[in-house]
Amino acid sequence: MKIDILNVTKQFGTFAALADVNLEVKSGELIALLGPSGSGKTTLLRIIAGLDWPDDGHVLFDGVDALDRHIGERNVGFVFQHYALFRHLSVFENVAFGLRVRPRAARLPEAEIKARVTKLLDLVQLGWLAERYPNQLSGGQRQRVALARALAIEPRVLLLDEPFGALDAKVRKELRRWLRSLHDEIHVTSLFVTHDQEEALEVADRVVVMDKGRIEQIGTPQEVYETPATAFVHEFIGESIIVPVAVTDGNVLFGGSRLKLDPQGAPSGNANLFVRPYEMAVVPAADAAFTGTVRRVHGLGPARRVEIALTESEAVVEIDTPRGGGVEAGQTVGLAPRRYRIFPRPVSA
Amino acid sequence: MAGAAPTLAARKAAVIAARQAVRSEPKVVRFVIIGIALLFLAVFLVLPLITVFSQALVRGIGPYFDALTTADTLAAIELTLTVAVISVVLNTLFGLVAAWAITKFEFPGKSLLITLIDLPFSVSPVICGLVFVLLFGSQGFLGPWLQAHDIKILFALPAIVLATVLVTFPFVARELIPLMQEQGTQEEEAAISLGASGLQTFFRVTLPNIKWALLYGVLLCNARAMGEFGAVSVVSGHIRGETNTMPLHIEILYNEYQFMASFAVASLLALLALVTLIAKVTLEHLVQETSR
Repeated sequence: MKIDILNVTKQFGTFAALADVNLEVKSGELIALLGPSGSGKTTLLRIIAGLDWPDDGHVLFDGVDALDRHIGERNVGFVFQHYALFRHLSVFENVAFGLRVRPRAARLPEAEIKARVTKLLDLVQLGWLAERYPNQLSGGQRQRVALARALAIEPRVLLLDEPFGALDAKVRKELRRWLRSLHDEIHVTSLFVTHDQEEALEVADRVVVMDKGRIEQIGTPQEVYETPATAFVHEFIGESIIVPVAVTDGNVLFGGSRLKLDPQGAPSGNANLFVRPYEMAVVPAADAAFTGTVRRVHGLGPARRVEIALTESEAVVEIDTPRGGGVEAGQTVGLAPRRYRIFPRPVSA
Repeated sequence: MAGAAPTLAARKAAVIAARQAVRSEPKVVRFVIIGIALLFLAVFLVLPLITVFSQALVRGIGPYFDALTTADTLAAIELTLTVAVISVVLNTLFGLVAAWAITKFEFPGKSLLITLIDLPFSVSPVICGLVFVLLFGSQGFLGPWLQAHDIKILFALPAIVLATVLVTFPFVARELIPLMQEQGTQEEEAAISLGASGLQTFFRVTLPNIKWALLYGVLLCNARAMGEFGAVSVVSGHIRGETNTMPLHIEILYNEYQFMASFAVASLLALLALVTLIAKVTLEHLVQETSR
């Protein structure tokens, strides 16, 4: 099912949880809502589900207004961060819940309920735990039961709120791969909320990066990582070297001297230069954009991390150089960004 | 070989003894502390209980039952049961609604409501009774109007029920609020998202999660409703055979030097207390078992 979110706005008191959010989710897509806490991602998810209502704007399911409808009528599967399993019901009954509460006319016969629950438990690989109770399961198992329960009502859209947030790192990695392959199998339109960029980039077809109630960028994992649309996205996703510079009449200035860099359309004024640590090349000091003194070289493996104190400012940057690059502590080196982005610096920061 | 074993066991025992000595108080201190606790229990709980039952049965089992089956006593028992049933039902509903409102919704004045629920605990029961006298009495706020319409509240069943409800109001709500706060609203949200209606959510998700706490609250509420003296005493009017509850009846019998009859009725209340206690312990056991 296709979802359109149009100009959705939501205030909590004076706090703008969502400010004029627009998003189009294609049928069968797996979307990650990524952002720091307080960015509005969970609020957006709850609005799509029908657990919250926007102050303004529209949510369309296949072109039909969903806001007219109560959560129970929207046919959405919602998976909660802390699972929210019914603690007094067995795993089997948890999954069967959505089928048992249907109005009598629409209720399936018992045998069919049993068959469907069994199939779902097999899908999440928990058939052998059907008679257990939630408090006898591990975190990863509970999350899979929650997923099976949400899928039991054959939802048109699956919404997951920080689905792996409460799990330890190893289980989280396993489970997100499993979720990806499950999605490839059942192809239900899905949105999940996360603050973990690795998770979003690994699992999602497209990533929606949010900050302070606004969408900063929508794109494939590759797009948001390699061509960040805003300073926030550059800083939030992946590692960034940030060097404060100034832009005047199409020139980029650093510590009073001109850099041979393209301002990329940034207006005159203060700006920040963003470079990925591995996109900063060490070059002879004479013809470099920046110079600096190597303070420390460390790291094992293919790349080495070098801390360099810039000569022209107090900034210390950490870059990655290939092993055996001949860089040593105390040396003065030149730095040249291979790829970079320049964004105007916000006034307050 | 044969000689080695005892020495080993002896050494083990010595080590264990040494460990225990480090870990606990000297024996004398332990005995004194436990002794004081038991003495307290004996003087303040066991002795009075024994007195009640021995005084009640002082003339044998026949007169005991005769005392319990006089018309006035039976009327008092009936009134007490009626009042308890009504109060418990009302307070269970009130408690559920209040706890639900407080824990599942955000609204202004919430903390004030929580404080108000506790009020009957901190106010003397006599005041709770007096409130109704001031409200419904002939000199009271609504008194003249009630008299004009021939509605009898004070010195009748309605006032006794009202006073009891007021005094026992906190029991159910107090048991439910912390539990429901801890459980949050996620399970309810999950149920609704799966298509359950409001009532289905309540009966299939909320109620099973709070049933033990609810039962526990009902139990305490019932015990207090049957035993309430102060508030009821103020509003009842002490009309024998009509508006005397068991506690009031006990006092009247005692004041009339009918000690045996007085203790006989008291023994019923004491029995109720024991039953409540046993039920409470059983409940706690069950809760522990199911929450494991």
